[in-house]
Amino acid sequence: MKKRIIELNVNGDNHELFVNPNRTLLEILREDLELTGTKRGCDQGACGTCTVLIDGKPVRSCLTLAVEAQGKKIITIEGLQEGDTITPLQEAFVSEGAVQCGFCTPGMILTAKALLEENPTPTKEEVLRAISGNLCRCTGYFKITRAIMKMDREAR
Amino acid sequence: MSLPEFEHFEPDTLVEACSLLKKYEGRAGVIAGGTDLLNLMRNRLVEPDFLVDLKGISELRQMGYDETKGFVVGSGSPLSHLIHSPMVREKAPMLVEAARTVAAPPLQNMGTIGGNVCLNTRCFFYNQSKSWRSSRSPCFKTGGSICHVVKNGDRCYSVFQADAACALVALNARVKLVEEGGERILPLSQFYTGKGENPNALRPTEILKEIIIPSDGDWVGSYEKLSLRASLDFPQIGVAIALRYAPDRAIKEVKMVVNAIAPAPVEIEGIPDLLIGNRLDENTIEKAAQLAREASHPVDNTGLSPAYRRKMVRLLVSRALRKFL
Repeated sequence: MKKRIIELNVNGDNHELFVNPNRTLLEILREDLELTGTKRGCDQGACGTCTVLIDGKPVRSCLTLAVEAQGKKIITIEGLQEGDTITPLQEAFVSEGAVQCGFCTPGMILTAKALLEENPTPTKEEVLRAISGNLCRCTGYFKITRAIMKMDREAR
Repeated sequence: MSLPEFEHFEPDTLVEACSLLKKYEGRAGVIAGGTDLLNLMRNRLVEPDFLVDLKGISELRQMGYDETKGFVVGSGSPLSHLIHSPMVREKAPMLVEAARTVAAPPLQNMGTIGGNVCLNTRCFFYNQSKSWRSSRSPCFKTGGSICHVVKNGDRCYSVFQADAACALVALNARVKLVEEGGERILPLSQFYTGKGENPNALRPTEILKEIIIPSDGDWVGSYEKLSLRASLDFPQIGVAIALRYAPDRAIKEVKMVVNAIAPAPVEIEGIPDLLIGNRLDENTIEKAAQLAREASHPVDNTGLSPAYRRKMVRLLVSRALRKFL
């Protein structure tokens, strides 16, 4: 197996990396770029904690090879922050108590961000459908849905 | 679990991809969405030395409609493209209905229709890690000569669980397979071999290029799925029904396909005889549901018991048919 030089655009920064083709985007983000906000849960595409945005769409970084992500815009949870300020969506998660253990939160927030960009005033059903690929085992979906719906009210 | 080692190729054209598959015949595999393949590779169920990435090939993502040919979908179209395409919604709403039930939206952004059609069959004893499997002797699907599900079984009983593909069989779709120096078109129902070990007719040098859905008349369709949870799950039972009416609302043509009961989608053969010429009412629906139940013989290789799944065939068929009332 030959190592390859690849270039990844993560959160607006270009990174040149020397990687084996069998490494996933998740491994590169966490281990090489030290962006550990993206979590490794099931590592088989089921739980959604490794969600990142590629060209604005939520995808599973554990099922994406790093070599396949070249030339695309990758956004991780670290990319939402501007200096010390967090986005209104993240604030809504805090104020609604939608974060308990926090493990599913990065994936939930990125999935919600993609939804709200496409559809700023989603119905509850649309929110539930959008986050149906992200498993939460402690906070419960009620508060998470409420936090995302709060953004909807603000958009109105 | 880390992935096995491989070389990765990113061809720009289908011709290039086909010649790579020919060059490394038997040692190369293709990757499109990767949502199923990477998990099979993690479990060391598939270990290609060379991976040919189809994502850069724009001709595989084309979608078009032609009065004579019908509706042509490139195999590399992500499921989310189909779901949000106004053309697919108009021409094949059942395909949208079935594709929406696959996994969850982020996986629909990755997984392609071609990957769904070529999905490998699954089994509780097959889709496991290498170390889990090493405590038992190999089964038919992993090169051995026993089945862990059916005692004294003489073949592999793994189960086909792709939702969108089941709907496509009901819609009489055909598939175009290309390889270096040739191509062939097969009805999707013949593409599936019914053999668990080798569920489809795709040769190691071939690529599924497109899916052709005929447009001869005003078919209506309905897809129903039973799964353990509403998203992120394979069907325990799937039912796809396509039908068209005569001017007097009697049924003129009908096709019913039941999924997740065998290594291929199963067409229920007695259904046209039972329904054609009749109007749908509670009585005909009940008879059709009973017939489908009797024709279904699931085995114990998914999360729910075969007896329960068989019962649910009846319920799902009647639910699917009631949508037409």
